[in-house]
Amino acid sequence: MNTSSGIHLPSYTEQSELVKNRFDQLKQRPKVLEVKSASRVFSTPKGDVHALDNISFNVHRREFISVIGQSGCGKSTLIRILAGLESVTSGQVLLDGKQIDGPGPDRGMVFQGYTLFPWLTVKKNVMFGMKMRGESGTSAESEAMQWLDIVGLTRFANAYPHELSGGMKQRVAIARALANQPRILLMDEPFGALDAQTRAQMQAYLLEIWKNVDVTVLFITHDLDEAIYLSDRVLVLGANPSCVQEVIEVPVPHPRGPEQFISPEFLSVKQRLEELIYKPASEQKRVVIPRMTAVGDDVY
Amino acid sequence: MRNWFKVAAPLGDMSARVLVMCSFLIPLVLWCVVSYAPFLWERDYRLTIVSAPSDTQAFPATYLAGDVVSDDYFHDYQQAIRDDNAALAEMRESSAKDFGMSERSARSYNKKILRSFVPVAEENGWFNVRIKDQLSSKDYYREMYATMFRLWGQLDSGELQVADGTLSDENLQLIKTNYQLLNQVADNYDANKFLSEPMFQLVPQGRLKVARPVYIPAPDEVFNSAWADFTNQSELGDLQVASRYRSSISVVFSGFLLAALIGVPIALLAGTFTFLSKLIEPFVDFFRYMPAPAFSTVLIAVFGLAQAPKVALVVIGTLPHLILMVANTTRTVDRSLLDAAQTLGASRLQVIKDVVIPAILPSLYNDLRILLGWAWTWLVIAELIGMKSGLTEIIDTQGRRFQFDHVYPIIFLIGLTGFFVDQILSGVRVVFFPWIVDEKSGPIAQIVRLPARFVAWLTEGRLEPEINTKAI
Amino acid sequence: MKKIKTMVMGIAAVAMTTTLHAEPLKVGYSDWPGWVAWEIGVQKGWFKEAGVEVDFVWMDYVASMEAYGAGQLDAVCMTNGDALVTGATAKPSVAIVLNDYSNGNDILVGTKDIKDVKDLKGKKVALEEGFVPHLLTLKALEAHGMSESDIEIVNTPTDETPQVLKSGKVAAICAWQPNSGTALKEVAGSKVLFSSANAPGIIYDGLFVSPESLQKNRAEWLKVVKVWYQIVEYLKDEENHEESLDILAQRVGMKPDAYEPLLDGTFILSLEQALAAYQPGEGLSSVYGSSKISDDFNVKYKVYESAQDISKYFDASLTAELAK
Repeated sequence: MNTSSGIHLPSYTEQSELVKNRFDQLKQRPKVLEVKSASRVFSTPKGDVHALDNISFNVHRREFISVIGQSGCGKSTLIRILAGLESVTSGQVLLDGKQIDGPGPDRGMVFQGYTLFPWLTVKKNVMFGMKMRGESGTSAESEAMQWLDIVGLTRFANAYPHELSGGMKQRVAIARALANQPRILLMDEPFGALDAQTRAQMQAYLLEIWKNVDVTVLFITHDLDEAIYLSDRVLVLGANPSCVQEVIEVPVPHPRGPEQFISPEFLSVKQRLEELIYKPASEQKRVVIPRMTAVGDDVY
Repeated sequence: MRNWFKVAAPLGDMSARVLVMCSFLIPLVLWCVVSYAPFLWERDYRLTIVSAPSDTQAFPATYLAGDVVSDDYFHDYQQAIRDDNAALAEMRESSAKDFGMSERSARSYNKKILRSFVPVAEENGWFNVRIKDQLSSKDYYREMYATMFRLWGQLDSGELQVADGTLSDENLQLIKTNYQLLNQVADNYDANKFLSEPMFQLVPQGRLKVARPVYIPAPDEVFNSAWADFTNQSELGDLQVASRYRSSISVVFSGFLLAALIGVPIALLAGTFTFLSKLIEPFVDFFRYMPAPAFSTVLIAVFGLAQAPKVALVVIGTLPHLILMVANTTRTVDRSLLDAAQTLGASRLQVIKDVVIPAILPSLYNDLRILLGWAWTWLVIAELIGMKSGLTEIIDTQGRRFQFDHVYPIIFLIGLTGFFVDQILSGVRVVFFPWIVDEKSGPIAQIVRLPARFVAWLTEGRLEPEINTKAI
Repeated sequence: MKKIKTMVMGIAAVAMTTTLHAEPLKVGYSDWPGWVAWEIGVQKGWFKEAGVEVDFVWMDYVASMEAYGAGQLDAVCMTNGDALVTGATAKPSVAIVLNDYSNGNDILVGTKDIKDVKDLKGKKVALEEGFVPHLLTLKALEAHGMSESDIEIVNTPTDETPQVLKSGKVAAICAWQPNSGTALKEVAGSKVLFSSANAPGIIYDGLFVSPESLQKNRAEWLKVVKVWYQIVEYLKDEENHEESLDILAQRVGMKPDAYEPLLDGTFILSLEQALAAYQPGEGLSSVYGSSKISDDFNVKYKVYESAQDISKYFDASLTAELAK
């Protein structure tokens, strides 16, 4: 495998002993989530649209799995199905062996848009799930404060969401989802709207939280670096029809750190992902726009 | 100046404030120009002494002191009285002494002439009509006639001098002649011993003033009438402005509250469930085009004559708009908040109760504020149906009599009430909804907010959020 | 929740007050001097003294007849002609009091350029169709050898006629006081072309009671009639002249001096005069004769279909009882 720059990279399937052991252990753990031949068809006046086509995969306990794919490949449909906000047209989705039937607190979700309730303070937002279960009062409050401590926002317990920055809002959203003690945390491009610097910090935060909290994470992103950096495995969804192209076991050892972004293992995975997701240049069409198409002696 | 015409350009605080003031000052200045600029209108006379010419064919109208007549009319009017007086003098000279009226009519006629002197007496500070407030009607008139009688006597003897320009020499002479006549019967006013043949009418007097159409009373006239009307000193008797004001406010607010109580739940449901929206909204949309006042006869037949049909009219006028507006507002709730709530374990009922309702509250508040404005616009029509009531009765009755100086204060009162209620409601919005970002908290909000802030400080130990949003 | 409950109840209570308060006799009265005179009885507490509970409801004339027709009033002050119209189209009624006849208050007012009724030929005249001014205008035309087809009638609510005349869009208006007086005063050069003084008795004004209420509460209504003649006596006394003007003027929001000519244009009937007018007969001196003219007019102009039984509209018995 050679990149165009000619640097030699190992195969993305090569795993060090350490990494291999880790995956062996992981696969022995019980399956939290099982997706079996799941399909989703939307009926439109122009005919049926296959948003998801025969998708199968498993997620093990305490695993961090990312889902990537081109936009429109059905990532969002998939996560909404897992959350129970939508249903499959065929196939099965099991959580701890039980069929998913509608949304529930056993699956926490963090959305790309900041979905904090603007009329509630940060603390009340974190307590929302408990309140829905009929738990409020001091014990719920102290529990909420513990979760805020985990995401480092105790100082802002009584602030309103609009007083927070984007990164802080997402940390509250994570705390709010975790406060329900879900079996799995579903994250739908949670850092997509953040600037690059904040995003890097948030990624580090997330890994830290994941390390400390007993939770499984399914993470949707279109950022390849983010997917590799955070995940044990990366699931690549192809477009048209939307099916699982490949599930890659990331050979980058734990604990992860920013310096690994340029490690050979990291780059080998990235190269493979690029192959899967982006079409080769030869397949790209040259677009001709009058007066705007470069001709002749160009800097290009 | 050039900046003003930049599209959507922001304004400085100071110039914004100046412009706001100007938006009120400019109409006021225009009003003053129209009212006081002498070059705009012809000159007229404001009457101080009035009389009733016997030729009712040529002079059918009844004028009162304070009324305004044109230059031409004024001189014809004076001449008519002089002619009448000349004719009377002739009759008096003749042996027949047939005045063409009964003794009773003559007494009434003479009393009227005494009354016509009241404005002059007032101007000279010899009499105050306000004593009418303390006296019974009968006592007042006895006192008034007695005073006029005595004053004429003092004028006749030269004991009393009138101030310059308040009484013409011609009228002074007439008063002296009249006093002689009165004095022959009794030397002071006595209802049972009063001159029973006609005396001479005073010749109309007036002062030149800037003439204006009746429907543009000057600001000072409007202000004076407003002061008199609002303090129960109106020349038109007790207009009961305060109780009428309460009545009007109660019509607007009960109508509005009733509409809100009926409409908000319906709208919430229609905005939340698509099937209800389809079931309810098309008819409501159709209904709102039907003119509410057209139902007035039906409303009277159903609700009777008092406040109820008026309140019902405000409800009918407001409710359809309220349902449509609030249903639309409900639909603007961010879907992802509903999704988030469901993933956090909220049931359907909990989603409505704990997400939909709190989420739309700020918009609902604004909708209702706008609809309260709507309710005000129905007030006048509502108060006209059946038994006329509230402030509208003054507007309607005095408007027909061309007493516009009494009409405008009431119109302004309604306008100002609506305006200030809206300003206050919009000012305190931030107090109810502290999480609204785009809200400037004005001075009203700052004041109303104080207790809320104190409570927040007590319960949450939170004075104001000291947030450093730079730190992530 | 509790707060909302009390709020709902409060609003409901406001809405209910009228429907529950149906006890006293309800009489609609409007701004005709002969009817405003009832205010004297109200102000002086004479109804209470007489032991009868009457609620006098101050309304616009046309609105009061509508309210009576809708069954919201037990009685209403109307002219004999309008009583026929209301009876034929909405609800019959019986006059138990004849207050007065118009003696100059209903006026056909012409603008400066109109010298007499004949000048109205081909011109626009604003008046409220089917009501008293309409009748009076036709009477004026008839007296000058003309008919309705000679003029163009602009249907206008009576209380808006002064504004219409002032706008200069019509040659004349016909209205009752105080509207006619306002028109004369506000429109320079306007004059009286014809008035009810030219045909006294063409318009009688009375208290028209619903037949059911009269049957049920005859004794109560008798007390009302009694108070009326107390008012008449009071009005006729020279000594009360100014005070009565004060009371009447206050009710309609006018200055007392401005109200004086209005009272002069109303011939208040004494008990004897009322009884005389109640006698069936031809001509304007009898309310029957006067009503016959209205009835013919109404049928002719299709205000209603068929002639009314006039005798059903008048009941002199209560007045006669007082005369004993």
